Amino acid sequence: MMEEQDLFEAHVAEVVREHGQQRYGEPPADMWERLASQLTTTTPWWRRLFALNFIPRQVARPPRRFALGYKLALLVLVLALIGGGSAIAATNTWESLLNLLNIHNSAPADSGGKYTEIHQQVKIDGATVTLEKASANATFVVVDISIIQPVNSNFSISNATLTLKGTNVQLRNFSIFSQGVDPHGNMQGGIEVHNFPAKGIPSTLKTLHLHFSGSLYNANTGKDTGQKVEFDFTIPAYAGHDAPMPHAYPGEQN
Amino acid sequence: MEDALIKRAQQGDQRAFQHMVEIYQPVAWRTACALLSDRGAAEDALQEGWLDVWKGLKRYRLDSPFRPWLLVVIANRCRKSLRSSRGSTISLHDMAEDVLIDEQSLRLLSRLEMKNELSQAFNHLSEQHRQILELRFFAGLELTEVAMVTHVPLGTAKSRLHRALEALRVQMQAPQLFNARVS
Repeated sequence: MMEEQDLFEAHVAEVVREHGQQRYGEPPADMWERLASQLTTTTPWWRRLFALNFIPRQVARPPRRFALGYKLALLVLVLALIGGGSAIAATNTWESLLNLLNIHNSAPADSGGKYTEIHQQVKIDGATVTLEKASANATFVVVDISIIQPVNSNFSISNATLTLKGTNVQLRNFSIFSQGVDPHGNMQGGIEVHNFPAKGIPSTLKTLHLHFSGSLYNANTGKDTGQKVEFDFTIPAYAGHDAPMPHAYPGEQN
Repeated sequence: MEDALIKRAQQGDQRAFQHMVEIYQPVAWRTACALLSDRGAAEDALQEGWLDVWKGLKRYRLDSPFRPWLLVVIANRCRKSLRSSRGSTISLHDMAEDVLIDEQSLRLLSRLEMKNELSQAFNHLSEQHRQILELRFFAGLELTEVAMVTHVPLGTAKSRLHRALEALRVQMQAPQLFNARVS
């Protein structure tokens, strides 16, 4: 398995090198000529002054004083900063992260905004994994999962599958990932939007009883931790096909 | 030897600096190309970047490795170039989105036209995935260097690379999904 992975990476490396070579070519041959004319001496300014036999005079300046108006303005500014800082500190870290990630502002693209809030949560190795919302129409089942973890961790969910309970319909996903760091710099939050193509789900179903299963991948070690992330939930199935594109967050499209 | 060269350049020796440009030009060039994704822009940024290196050499400390320092100076110049060309405050480390693709079969390896497919798949990758793959495999940067030039923690660089590779796998398996997304 590992050998195959290495082989795949080796193929990718070769293709990327060839692409880069074709696309960008060799570095400009005349770079040094271009630079040479623009290089300036690195002699410190004070030495250059001495070279000109010029010694700058020391000018005695009285200490700068602020007028009363400036002092008052400064005081107001400091108070405003202290007040703002306290307000931020009082805000729940999780809320800050969600705001940072724009999750509250994002509208699911494929269900006309008809999301079901779920909020199931598991804690694994210092990471809090929460199934936030889910939505389904005839094209996609979209599952939003957040991961809050210390900044030095790098967990994400891999091998995610969605199973329609009571059937053998199992969906494979692809997901879009957004991340941010909380204002205090201790925790980071990521939102994984898992998009499961809904092919295979009977169109007659009005309600979907689903089982989400994935495992926690640790990017720091490059290995799957083997720890399962599982959620059971129920959401309505909307019939619409109007927006077959996967759910995306603002700024995510290139 | 490199230290001696750098020391001489720090003292204003242009010939020593020329040697340094010759030695590091390939990696600096490829890094600028990967970051800017445009040959013309990379040429301009590299020229400015080398001038930044020349001016900043005095601040460089000989007890730390030179290559990462140089690459960060070049990357900062590329970042400035990006900002001015886009007229906004987009920075490389703000592009936080990734695509995470789960469990693709490595049996793809057995496909006869894998390389062709890879090549096509690469053309459909997101800007961030293209960039990290180019920095790693075209510029040949170590992951720590990738993290430094893109201003992200090492773990993030690792996970981005992992996701970029996964995105390639999925793109090869289900190209219509990505084609729809980028069109």
